[in-house]
Amino acid sequence: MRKIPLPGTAVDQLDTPVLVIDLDALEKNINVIATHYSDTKIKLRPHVKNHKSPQIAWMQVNAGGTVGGVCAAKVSEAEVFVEAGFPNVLIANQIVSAPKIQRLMSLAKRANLMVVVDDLEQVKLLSESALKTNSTLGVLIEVNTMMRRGGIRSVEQGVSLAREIVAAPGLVFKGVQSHQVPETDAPNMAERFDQGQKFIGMVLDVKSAIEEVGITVEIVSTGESWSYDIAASMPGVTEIEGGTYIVMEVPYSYMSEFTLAAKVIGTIVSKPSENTAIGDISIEAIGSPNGPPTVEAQEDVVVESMSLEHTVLKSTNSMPLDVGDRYTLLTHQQDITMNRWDQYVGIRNGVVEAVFDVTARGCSN
Amino acid sequence: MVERPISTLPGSDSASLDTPALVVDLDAFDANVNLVHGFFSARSANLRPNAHTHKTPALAHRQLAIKGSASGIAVISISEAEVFASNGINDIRITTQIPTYSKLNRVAVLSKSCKVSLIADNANVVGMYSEAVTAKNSSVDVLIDINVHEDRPGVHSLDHALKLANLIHDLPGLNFAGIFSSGGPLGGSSTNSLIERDLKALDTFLDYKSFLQTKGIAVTEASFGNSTHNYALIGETKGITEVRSGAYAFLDANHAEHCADLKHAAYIISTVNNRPEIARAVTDCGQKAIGRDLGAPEVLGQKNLIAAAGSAEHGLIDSADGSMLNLSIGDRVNLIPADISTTFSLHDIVYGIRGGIVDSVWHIAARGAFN
Repeated sequence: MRKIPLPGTAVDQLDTPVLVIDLDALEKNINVIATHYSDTKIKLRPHVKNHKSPQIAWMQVNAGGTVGGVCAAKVSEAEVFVEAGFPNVLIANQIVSAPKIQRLMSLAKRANLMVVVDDLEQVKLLSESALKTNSTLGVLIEVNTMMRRGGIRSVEQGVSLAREIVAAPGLVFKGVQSHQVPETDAPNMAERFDQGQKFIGMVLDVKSAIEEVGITVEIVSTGESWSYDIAASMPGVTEIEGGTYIVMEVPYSYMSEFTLAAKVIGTIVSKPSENTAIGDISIEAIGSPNGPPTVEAQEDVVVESMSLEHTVLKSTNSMPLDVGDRYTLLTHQQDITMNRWDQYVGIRNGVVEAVFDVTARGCSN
Repeated sequence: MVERPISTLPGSDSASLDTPALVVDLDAFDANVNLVHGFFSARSANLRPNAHTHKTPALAHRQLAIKGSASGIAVISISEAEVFASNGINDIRITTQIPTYSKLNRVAVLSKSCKVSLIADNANVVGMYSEAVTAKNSSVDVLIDINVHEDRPGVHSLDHALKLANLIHDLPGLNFAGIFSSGGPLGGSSTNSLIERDLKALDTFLDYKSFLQTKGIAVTEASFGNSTHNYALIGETKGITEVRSGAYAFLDANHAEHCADLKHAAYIISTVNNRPEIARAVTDCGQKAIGRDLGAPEVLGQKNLIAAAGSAEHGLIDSADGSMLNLSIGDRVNLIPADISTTFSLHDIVYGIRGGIVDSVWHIAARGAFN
């Protein structure tokens, strides 16, 4: 759905529900990273699954402190970012189906492409196709530290897989990769550093073991926004994959240097009782797999539930919102929310400044 | 902006679809639609397909072609209405009250070329409806939204309904068409407790109809919605003219236990990317491809496999008893979403398949039509 409000439109004139992105907050978040990594050897690799926007990714890269390339979750996302001119894309996921591998090899002829593996079967499939298409593909080993998704489960597995990759024609062994989230909600600084050092330490263990058998490990790509400052202090890590910090989410607010930049604005459409108001932001427009969103700047008002049509808002006292009033919801999982929308409406000081596509929305192939 | 699946031509084997892919099994879809519409074709009430569920004009046309349908569809927003109208649907009921002039101007424009009906529970908003449509020399039907569940919109008292009905009747550009309600959510309740709740709600709803009629007001329509789980119960209740339902055509996991007569007709085909543990497989179908806002998906036809966990980009399949999973890297797994409307809201394309062959490739044209 392509429906673009004119720049200069007041935010309170926008038809709702609408996803807006506060450009001051976005720029501030980008600047925190650019400053932190301005003179470090380790750099940030922006994860584009979070915002799915080449425009935002270029803002990140141009601000500095990044590896100059991006990280993607899917082949179709990587296609969007290669088309948008990024020279270097790491797909932090395993690619196993024949048509996707063909697309990957086509991309690898136009940009520096890397993928992750955790099984010999994937290595064989990739090598066979690289050989057939005369392409070269960078390969990293995914290390499981706590997610229990993909990733090798032991150091030995990592070493033997590294040997297989080195021996596989068409593939270039690049290093190790891992993704983690904090084990506890809202960790304090000490807890956060403990957890980050523990998980990243596991990745570095695999790196050392691979190096001990004489294989060069060029890249150690790990972490997320919550460990950006931890990884920077751990020798051996070469890059941090960061995505959440860009527009932020409520449960991440313990990372107080970053500011919530994306919000969904809705309108109250009905007030069926004294302490209940019904709003027009549906669950499809924001997504809430991790619990209901938070209502901005309305201390007494909470989201009671969300349906396919509506938000149900309750107030402890008399509901301050009336039919026609606006309300704003703050997401608890930003990338789920961004993936529901076709455009970012960029706002500054209450006025629309820029509208740009969520170009890789829906790229789950 | 637009997802980028590998183009698959009709006539291809469905095994060649790149994953994750949203597919509709047309044999099952047609069976569901024929069964439910067949029920209504033998009764005085009609079924108005809630097209918000699939957001796909081709599927709406397929539903409306079957006897037992009302003359049009239900949607939840003006932008969905615009998409369906521009794809040839000419009777559209918007099931959310619209309290803003900018949207009402769009309603007024649309109502010149398409029969549009609106709902209301608020006198000020009814005034706005009249103002907006008369400014464009048009008219719309308006139904009063009746509250039968605490977390839904709608009027709470007979007097309020009477006042609104008179107001709608008196204001230019508005035709009072009747009453409307959305029932309640499934909310994990048992079938029996839902039936009990719905019978009570129906009583309340129909009280409004009789009351308005005793006051000399013609109530042409009585439209009850959210009714996949109870379409027969509502549909044979005297006084009901219309049942609104969307999930009936697809049967998602949330409706399955309440709807023994329907078949699963829509699912996601996913691929196993990793086999990291004996009892666990990781697939390419995460929340962004299936949606878990209203519950976890289920593995089609395999009760021993659990898809309860999962994250944004990855799905997890665990064996229910911790035993060795009989899945290898590259294998395909079909997943039934908890809520099919959410799944349609994530994709731009849906494939119609029949007998394992891709029959149709359809655009989910109203995806993202939130405002």
